[in-house]
Amino acid sequence: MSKFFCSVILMMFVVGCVPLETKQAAFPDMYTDARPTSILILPAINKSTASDAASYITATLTQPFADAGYYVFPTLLTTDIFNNEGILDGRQALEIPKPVFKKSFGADSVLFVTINKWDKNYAILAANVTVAMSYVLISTTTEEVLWSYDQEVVIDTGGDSSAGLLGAIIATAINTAVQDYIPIAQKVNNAAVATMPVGIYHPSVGQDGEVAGVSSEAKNKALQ
Amino acid sequence: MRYNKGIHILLLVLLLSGCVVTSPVGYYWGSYSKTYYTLLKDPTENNILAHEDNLRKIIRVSEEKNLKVAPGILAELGYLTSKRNNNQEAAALYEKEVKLYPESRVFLERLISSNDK
Repeated sequence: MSKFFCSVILMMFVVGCVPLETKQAAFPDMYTDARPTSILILPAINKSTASDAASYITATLTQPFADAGYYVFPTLLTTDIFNNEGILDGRQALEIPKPVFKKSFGADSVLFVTINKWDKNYAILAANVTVAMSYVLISTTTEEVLWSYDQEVVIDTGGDSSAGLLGAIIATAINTAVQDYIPIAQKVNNAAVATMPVGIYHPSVGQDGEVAGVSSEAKNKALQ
Repeated sequence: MRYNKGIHILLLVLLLSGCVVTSPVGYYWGSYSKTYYTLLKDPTENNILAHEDNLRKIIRVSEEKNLKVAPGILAELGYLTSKRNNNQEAAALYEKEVKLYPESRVFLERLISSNDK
C-alpha cells in the first residue's frame, strides 16, 4: 500500500502536478451542435513589446486551424475589412455583440488572439525567444466560449559555442539579427491548436474526445 | 539481391509520388506563411506579386495532386486580383471558394456584389 502511495507521489512530481483533462471534458460544447464549422480570426491584440509580433502571428494562424478541420476566413481580406471599420486589433471588437459576425460574415465563431509576451533574450553564449499567447474561441450564436488556451514556448536561438567566446558573441548577434521567427510563431500556434477538438473537415471529427493533454490551468488562464 | 530490388521499387515510388508535403487533412500550403509575412511586413508591389505567385502555385500543385485547395487560398488570390481591377477573375475565384467551402458564401457574395457596383 505504502509502495503504491509512493509511486503516486512520484508520478505527481514527474508530471508536475498539472491537472490534465480530455478534450471532451475540457470543451464539451465542441462535441454538440454548437461545434462551429467556420472561424473568423480577429486582428491580434499585441501586448508584447515587439511591434512585428502581430505580423508573424497573423501569417501563421490560418494554417493550424484549417488543418484542424475548420473553415478559416481569409485574414488577408478580413483584416482589411476590420481596419476599414476602425478595428485595428481585437480589443476594439470585444464589445461588439457576437451575432453581428454571424450576420455580416456568416461566421460560426470568432477567435480572439492575444500576444502576451514576445521576449528576445540575449546572452553571450546563448539566446532565446519566449512567446506567450492566449486564444479564445467564441460562438457567434450562443456567445459562449467554445475553446480557450494559454500557450507559452521558449525557443533557443543561440549561436555556436564551439567557435570560442568571440565567435559565439558574433554568431549570437548575427543569429538574433536575421532570426526567422516564422517557425517560432508556427510552433506556439500548433502547440495550442493541438488541444482543440477537430472540426468537420478533419477525418477524426467527433472522435478525439478521449484525447488527453488539455491543461485546465492553461484553459482558464486564457480567459483572464 | 531481392533486398536491392525492394530499394529500387521504393525509390521509384518516391520519385513518382513527387514528395509533396501535405498536412494531415491533406492540404498543400507550400511556403504560404513566408510570403504572407513578407507582404504584411512590407506591402510593396513586389512582395504582393510574390504572394500572388505563391497562391497560384499552391492552387496548381493542389490540383495536380488532386488535393482540395486549402481554405481561403482561392479567395485571397481573388482579392489580390480584384485590387488590380480584374473583377472577372476575382469573381470566378470567389465562386470556386464558395463551391469548395459553402461556409464562405455569405461573406464572398457580399464582396462580389460590392465589386459589381
